[in-house]
Amino acid sequence: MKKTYLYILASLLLTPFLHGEKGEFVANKNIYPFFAGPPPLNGKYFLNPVNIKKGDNRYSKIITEDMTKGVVNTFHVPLLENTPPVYNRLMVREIKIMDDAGNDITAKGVLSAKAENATLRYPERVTDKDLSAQSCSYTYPPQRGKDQKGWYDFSFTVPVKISSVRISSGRPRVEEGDEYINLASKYAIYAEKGSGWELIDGTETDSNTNPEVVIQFAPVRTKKLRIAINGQTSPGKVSMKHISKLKIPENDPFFIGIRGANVYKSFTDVIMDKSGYEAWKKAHPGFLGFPVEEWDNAYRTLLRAKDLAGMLQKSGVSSKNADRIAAKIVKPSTRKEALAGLKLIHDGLTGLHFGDKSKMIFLDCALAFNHYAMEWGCGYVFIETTSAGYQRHQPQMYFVRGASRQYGIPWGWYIAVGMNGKKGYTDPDYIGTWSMNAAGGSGGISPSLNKRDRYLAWLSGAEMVRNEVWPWTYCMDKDKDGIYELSPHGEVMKEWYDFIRKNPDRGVSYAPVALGLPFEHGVSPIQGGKVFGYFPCNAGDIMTEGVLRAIVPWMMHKIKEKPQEWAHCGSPYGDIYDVILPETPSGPVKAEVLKNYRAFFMNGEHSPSEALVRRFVQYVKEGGTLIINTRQLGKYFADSFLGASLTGNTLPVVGEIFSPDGKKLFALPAKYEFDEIRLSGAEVLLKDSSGNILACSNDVGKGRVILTTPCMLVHKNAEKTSFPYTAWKKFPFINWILDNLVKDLVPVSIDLPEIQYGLNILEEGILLYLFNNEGVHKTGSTAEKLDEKESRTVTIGLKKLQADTVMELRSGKKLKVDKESNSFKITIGPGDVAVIRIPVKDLK
Amino acid sequence: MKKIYILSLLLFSLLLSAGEGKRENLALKGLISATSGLQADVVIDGNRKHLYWDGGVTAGKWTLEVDLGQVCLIDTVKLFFWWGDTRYYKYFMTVSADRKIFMEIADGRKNTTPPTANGLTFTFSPVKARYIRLHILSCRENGRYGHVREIEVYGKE
Repeated sequence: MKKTYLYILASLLLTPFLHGEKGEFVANKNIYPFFAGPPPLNGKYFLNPVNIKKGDNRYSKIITEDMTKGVVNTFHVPLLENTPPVYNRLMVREIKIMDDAGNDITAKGVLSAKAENATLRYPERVTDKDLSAQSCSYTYPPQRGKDQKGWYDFSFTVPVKISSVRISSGRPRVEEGDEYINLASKYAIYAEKGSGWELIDGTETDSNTNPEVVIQFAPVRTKKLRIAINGQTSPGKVSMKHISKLKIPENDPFFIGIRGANVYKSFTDVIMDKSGYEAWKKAHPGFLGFPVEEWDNAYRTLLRAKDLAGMLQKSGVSSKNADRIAAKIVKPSTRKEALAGLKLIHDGLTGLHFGDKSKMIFLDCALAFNHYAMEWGCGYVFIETTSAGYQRHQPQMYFVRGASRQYGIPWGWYIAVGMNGKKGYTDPDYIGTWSMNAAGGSGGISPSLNKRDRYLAWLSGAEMVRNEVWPWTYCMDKDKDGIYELSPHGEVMKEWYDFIRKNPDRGVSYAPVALGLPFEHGVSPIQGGKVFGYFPCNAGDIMTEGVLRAIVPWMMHKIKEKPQEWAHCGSPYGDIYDVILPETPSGPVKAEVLKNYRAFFMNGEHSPSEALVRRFVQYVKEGGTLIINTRQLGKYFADSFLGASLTGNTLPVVGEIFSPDGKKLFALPAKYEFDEIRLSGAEVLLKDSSGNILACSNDVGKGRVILTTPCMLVHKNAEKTSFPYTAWKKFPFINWILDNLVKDLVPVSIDLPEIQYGLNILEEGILLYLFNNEGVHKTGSTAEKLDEKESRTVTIGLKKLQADTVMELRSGKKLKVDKESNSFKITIGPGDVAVIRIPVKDLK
Repeated sequence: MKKIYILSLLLFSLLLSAGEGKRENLALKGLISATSGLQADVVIDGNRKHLYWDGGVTAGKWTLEVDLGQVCLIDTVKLFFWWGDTRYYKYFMTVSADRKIFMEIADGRKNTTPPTANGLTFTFSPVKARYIRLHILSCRENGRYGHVREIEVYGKE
């Protein structure tokens, strides 16, 4: 009892020293991050691969640029040792029947033949002693991915003693090739017995790979023999045949793209040469992995397909595998089922890549599957950004950076330069031979957007930038002398690459806030919308999208307000968020991960497990701030931890919103409801006109729990909100949380809300990047126009930081800090980027 | 006289193309082989829009050969290259009854027109043939690819 009393007393006395100041939101505002900087990938410096064939004179100028020195080759090989044809036929060139004395008795038999559900043409050619492909017997129509059954019967006038049969089947895939297709992979031989047939022992197989096969058996006496061809399909062999033929330069890192190893083919039956692969991998330390491109888009397409069979047929999928996809993947009724389907696809894809998950490099575009790929064991991920306007690039980065930190796996940024417009999807093509070249050099995204993507990739911790449409986008023959110079996009790449070589210390990308999403989130960071592109949104999904739209205001609406190229967008809230999935199949998020975030903001529907609740309690006790809604509590949080308990009543929010001391904070544009709580130690943070509690704060250990009560922080009818292109009413409770997070966790102030910003923490200082996304005019078929009137002069307040001068690193200009206001100014042109080094010695 | 001959030929061609929809595509009953690529079989699957044969990057030799199985009397060949952008193919086509003596039925050696979904129709006086060959010379001027969606052959068995 005495001990308890002393503990409570000590807690009361120490509390003011353990937590932030009164009125502050986040318990621990320590700026210095725990995350180590990203390690170099494969022991190399940051990679910017561009493929240039050695000795190609067109590149003789370009190869003098530093940006072309980071050679990363991408080789492409076919998936299977022998790729099956799309269609199967029964195809026999010759049959030879031998008696037990070794005599050819084929001609003594009378031939009849038939095929199941097909016409068998020219059966007589199997006995014409012509082995050529032009003299074969075959069926039509061909079968798509299915076996074609048929048989050839030989009737003899008197019983004969037969001991072997030779079957010559199939034909070379290509002229002068040694690979055969439409082989009789499955066959059996029968002898007539009574009114039926009896299988001759040892003559049945389902794995023949030989175009000329002699089947020997114990002599059988019969008047009638049936050679049944039961099929032409067999498991594909994922072998080292193609990979081992590659001429791979020593010491250079490289990818291997396997053609056809995609989502649609993931149910293909294969056998793997795993040991051969492992030995090869050991001998090739530069091997980065197998890119698996846009698996998210493909999966979404599968789920949404109206004519699945037709779509799969178009994609060259056999009907057998199409049936499997239809049975196992399509029409999930829950998000868990959708994710289970994705896992099946993933496992199938693994089978097409020698079972080596660690070398699978998944590329996400429309949907954020980064965490899933990492949870299931991949070694690397890419995000692909493309287009402008309806696509927002920053949230893609929040997802992948968070995934990378949650799983300790590096990531890269794949810059696709295309853009949708009136002429369809165009790429910038300054050379004129790229397929999507309708708009030539005026196609695709602007050089300015390319630049902002590059700088954001570098500053947010990507290990590599891959460059789509090289060389068409980046090179051009300006003087028509057959030698390439740099195009406007090429100049952007050069300036950026020179910058990162000159300023190699990017420190650690600063993301003190984790956005905690449910594992089955299925979010499209580029545009929101249906979950997995398939399920309607619930209130939790609207909350998540509301948070993303507050941080990166939705560009589709901004286009109407201000027609210009949007893909990045500024807001007061900065690029300081990582998406973390706290509850995964492998367990709750690790404490070592959680401790890197000063605040953990739960988004979406959650019902935390007991283990996750224990983890959160530990996190808060050690200084974290957990922001959680009453609808996300589940059943394991203790009231003592929350400092409050639910009464069970859900009531309407009344009037406007006030701080505890009665200061009006904001009004609500729609009707809200809240879950009534009873306080048991927490302090009120927000209340409505009737004094109802809408948020409260409870200090626990060194940390804090912020409990919000408006249902999912969104208004009453939010689930009916149409997605994704219509305008929304704002969700002021979300903005209130973000305002508080920025106030406490961003060590500088920026006076213009339209400026995009983020920070990197160095050993002795801070890098502050500022993007002016305004004033860039670009469509899919018109050249970039920059409106100088949209330049911005920004005032950056240094708050508690102390520095006499700062330096803008791209220009090398020093900027003086005004002592009185502890701030400095900088002007940034339309679509331009500033990277400012603020020297600070006592960050730790 | 020459005019009448040309007019007759034109009329004959028009009649052929008008009736083509109802005529049997003999290629559907045949086989196909190629000098390169993985899936030439899609070129005679009766589908003009879906899968296409990709001859791949080889040493400048892209030939497809449709084998009707037996000698037929043919008068029309329809050719559907891959279409969808500005690329165009240079090519020519020949036919043969015995795979030894070939007769040219189409000359696209100087072609610079991108293909369309309507394909190309070649009509000619009926000729006995079993083998129909398409020789692709280039994609654009020097591009080393050959892409074909479908070949159709019309005539009598």
